[in-house]
Amino acid sequence: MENIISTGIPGLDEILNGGLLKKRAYLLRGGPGVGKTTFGFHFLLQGIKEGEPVLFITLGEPKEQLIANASMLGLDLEKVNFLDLSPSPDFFAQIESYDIFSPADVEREPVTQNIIDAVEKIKPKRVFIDSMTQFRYLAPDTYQFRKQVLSFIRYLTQNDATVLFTSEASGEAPDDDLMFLSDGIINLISKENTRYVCVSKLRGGNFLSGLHSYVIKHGGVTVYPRLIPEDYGIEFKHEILSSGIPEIDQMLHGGLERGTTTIISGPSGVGKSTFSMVFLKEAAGRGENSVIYSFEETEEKILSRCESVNIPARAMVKNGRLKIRHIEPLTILPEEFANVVRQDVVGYGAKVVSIDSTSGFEVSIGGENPREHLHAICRYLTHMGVMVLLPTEIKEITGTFKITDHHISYLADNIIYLRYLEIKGQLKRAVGVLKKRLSDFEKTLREYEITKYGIKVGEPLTNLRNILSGTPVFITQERDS
Amino acid sequence: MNYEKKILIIGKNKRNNELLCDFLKKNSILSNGLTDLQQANEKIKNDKEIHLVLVDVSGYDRSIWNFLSILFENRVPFLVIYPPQHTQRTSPPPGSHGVLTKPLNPKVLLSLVKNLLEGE
Repeated sequence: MENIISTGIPGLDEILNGGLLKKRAYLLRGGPGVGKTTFGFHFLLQGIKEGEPVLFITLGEPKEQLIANASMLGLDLEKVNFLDLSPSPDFFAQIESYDIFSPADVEREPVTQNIIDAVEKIKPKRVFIDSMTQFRYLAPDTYQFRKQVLSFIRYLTQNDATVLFTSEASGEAPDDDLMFLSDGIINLISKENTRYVCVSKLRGGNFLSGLHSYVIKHGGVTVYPRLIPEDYGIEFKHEILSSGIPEIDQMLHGGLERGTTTIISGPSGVGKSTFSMVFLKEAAGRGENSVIYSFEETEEKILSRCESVNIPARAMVKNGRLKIRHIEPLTILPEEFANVVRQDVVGYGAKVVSIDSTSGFEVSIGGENPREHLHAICRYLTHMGVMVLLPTEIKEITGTFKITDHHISYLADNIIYLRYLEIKGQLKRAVGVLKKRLSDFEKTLREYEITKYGIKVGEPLTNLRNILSGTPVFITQERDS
Repeated sequence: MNYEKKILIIGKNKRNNELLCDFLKKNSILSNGLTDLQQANEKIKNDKEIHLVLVDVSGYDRSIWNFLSILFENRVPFLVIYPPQHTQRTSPPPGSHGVLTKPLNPKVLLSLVKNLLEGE
């Protein structure tokens, strides 16, 4: 759209439904250290990229300091025009400090003249003012301030500029008036070591509501829009996808459906990841791409484990059918992870996804409510026709029957559970299906073994009782006793 | 209207003096500023063209009050400028034609100065 300009910040344009309207003024507000000035750098640099003249009006940090700070982030402000209205060191040394008249009487006129001169000379298409709050001290009262800001904004926008200005709100000097005067409000919030952007007003446009996380690292700001699964979807059929193991397919009445979420539940070491891997292997065989998001094992460990059970994961990676993303704990924000998943679905064309494991996800991704994020990701994936596998660990090796320790079973369309059994003093493994939303399934359990040739599944365990307790009893034994 | 009469500004802060001079100049009133009280004393004695003195008392020691007494004794009209938040209850120094508190209201200052210059 011709009337919309990019903010220059990946993700923020998406939240703003494309960007900012031309010749409007937007307020960027937030406490100290949230990155208001860095947002401004991007806004101006985007203008430079598009060949526009831009102007940075600074009333706080001096130009040299701004250039140095931007350079540390890898941003080059060389082509940005500056109007430096920050106080010089002489002000502190009393050469320039004064109290005979109010700042409004002394400085308003020269400051206004400086701005007019700069705007007439540069004719900027983008102006960033850091911060507008400083002008408050150049106005004798709130009424005058409001009038002056309105007139200032009008002057800039009538001269074809789109304006982004910051405010420094505090208890003594709230910025409510600036919120009313602006065409849009972008709030930057820092909460529990995470930074969020939240748009609360956008005249003439829609925006993505809620909190969206962002990070500032080398290269500047990246915003990760909150994942709203309802906004995405494709048409697809819930085709049944085979596991490649006839007995498992028998138990699932053919396999798992495309666009469903499956919890593969079981205690540590029972083979959850290997079970999910067989579906990925089959996907590769069909010529479909898969992704494993591993929160516990490294890529090499996964590949070696797969090799030991006859799953050619290394070859799948090599020929581009499998992508393994090992995610270190607490290195990624929930929205950032969702963004990675979206890219894998849209860019890489993933059709099967394994999030290994759900407890690893909860610990590694953090955030206020990790379960909510997992829910959103699963819903997004299923809307996109992706088969989701969630290996989920339970603490108990045997005993009380539980599907998850994390109350996530509501996410699942299908639940496959894996159990350890103690039969005649030997540790065995059994697999069963507890839920399948789109079809019927076999209600019996089957013993299985993980061998160097793959997963070997036996006949239904029909002569055992109390299997879910972990210490089953043979029905014949019971009768004898 | 151009005022031929001169104003002397006494104040410890040079920037304040400059701002006052600039403001008066913009309103066609000649003035010059001094920070040193000894120089100010000599100026009062030697320059009979001084028609009004504006004295910003901030930053001086008690010698400023002696200076105000000299102005009074020499019958030089003067206005006293007090620092911000200065209590209004303090009685004006003897001989002063008025007391102002910083920050000054430019309109009030101008009207007071013009009245004093015209009425002298």
